[in-house]
Amino acid sequence: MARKKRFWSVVCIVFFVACSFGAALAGSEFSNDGNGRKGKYLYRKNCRTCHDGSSAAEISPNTKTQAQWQRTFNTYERLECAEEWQKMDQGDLTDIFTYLYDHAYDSPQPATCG
Amino acid sequence: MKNFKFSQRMNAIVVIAGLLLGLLLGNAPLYAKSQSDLTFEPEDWMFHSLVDVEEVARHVQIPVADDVMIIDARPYKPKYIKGHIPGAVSIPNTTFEDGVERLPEDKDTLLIFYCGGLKCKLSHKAARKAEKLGYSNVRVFAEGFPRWMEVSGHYASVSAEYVAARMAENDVVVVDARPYKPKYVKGHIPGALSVPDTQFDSLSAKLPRKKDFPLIFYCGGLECRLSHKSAKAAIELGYTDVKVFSGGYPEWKAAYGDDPDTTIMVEAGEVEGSIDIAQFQDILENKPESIYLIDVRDADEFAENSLENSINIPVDDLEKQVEDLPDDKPIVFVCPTGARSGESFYMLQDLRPSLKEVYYLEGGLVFTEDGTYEIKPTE
Repeated sequence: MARKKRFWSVVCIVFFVACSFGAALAGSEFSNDGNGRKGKYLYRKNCRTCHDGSSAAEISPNTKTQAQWQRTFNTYERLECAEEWQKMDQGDLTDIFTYLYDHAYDSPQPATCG
Repeated sequence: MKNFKFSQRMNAIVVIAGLLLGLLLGNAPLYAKSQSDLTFEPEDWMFHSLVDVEEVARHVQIPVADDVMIIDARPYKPKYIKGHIPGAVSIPNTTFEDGVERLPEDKDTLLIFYCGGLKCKLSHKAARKAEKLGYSNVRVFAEGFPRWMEVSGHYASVSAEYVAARMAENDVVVVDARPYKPKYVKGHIPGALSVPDTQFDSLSAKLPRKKDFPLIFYCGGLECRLSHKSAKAAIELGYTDVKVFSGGYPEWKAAYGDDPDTTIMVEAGEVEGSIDIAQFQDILENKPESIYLIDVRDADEFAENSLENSINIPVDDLEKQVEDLPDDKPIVFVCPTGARSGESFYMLQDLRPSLKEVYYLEGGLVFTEDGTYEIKPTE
């Protein structure tokens, strides 16, 4: 009886942890419903200053696919310019993500000079 | 001995005659050419001292020399305002007495009067009046304005009234030859195109493709050479209807003020920061001078085609110029997709939030081969 109780306790804990982790993952998922026009400027202001070819490699929206941008934003702590990310709020990040995602390599409108 | 003295005397005479001749020839440019050099037979009623177009051209310089005054004796309206020899002062013969105060104080100043050609008596009459006033160095360019315009490379100067009238008809391109910053940005004739003389070669693509389209250049007034240099450069490019508004921006401001009725309330579009597209099209067609239209494409794209009243500040250069942007009219950024113009809008929001009247065109601005444009709303 006690073993059975312990078993269900463990199951509950595992379920709770799994749910929390899932929720955390879901929370960090970026969506492209921000302001892409504003994102283009914020990208110039916050990203290109670091991704200047010396501190970090130069990038543009079409250097990655939409899935790659999604992964990049979910794991930005690993990036060379991670410190810059801390300075921006969630709204700015969403705007930048929207710009990059909407003009990614496999998007309907990959970034050009325009 | 007697022969020797005679020969000495003859030598002296020859030397003196030579000196006198040399003196006369040396001073020749100061005086009228010999009447026999003229290409027409002077009439009895003509003034006694006549000059030809080459002589006049020698005295046409910007700024005008202190010791020369070229005087247009034709009526101010409509003749003088429509076209006159660059640097010429208007003293119509019919109102000569009213214009006397415009004559120079120094009575030895060279005065060259002209009017409408060999049949025109106005310049001759005015010249005689000037001589009666004591002016000692008076000439008449009898072939007048028609002959001036016949010479290849010559152009006419016009007055503010003429510029305004032509702009109202929308059948002329007025070009500001002053530096874009700070002069043009601080103030210019509404609707004027900025093609600084120093950048004429690189920006001449902004001029109309049709070489017979009328162009009027202006700069900072009677002392300013830039508009004259640009006019000559345009003529060399093949433009056939080139004029200079010599009085330039100072004369324009004196006549029409800094900012004639150009105020406008911009209607915002649906997207944040955007201008209502219907109103934008209306502004372009009817009141282009009411906004600062800034094309944020790269210079090479702008050179290919652009909206008539737009100025080019590529988005990559905008940050450096943000503080110099004027605040007396709404600013509207344009580009082919709304991407760079939108970016420019948010740049100003961030870097110069005090500028409240800033908008961008949210939509596609597409130029066609015939020079027209189309605005396509973003889908």
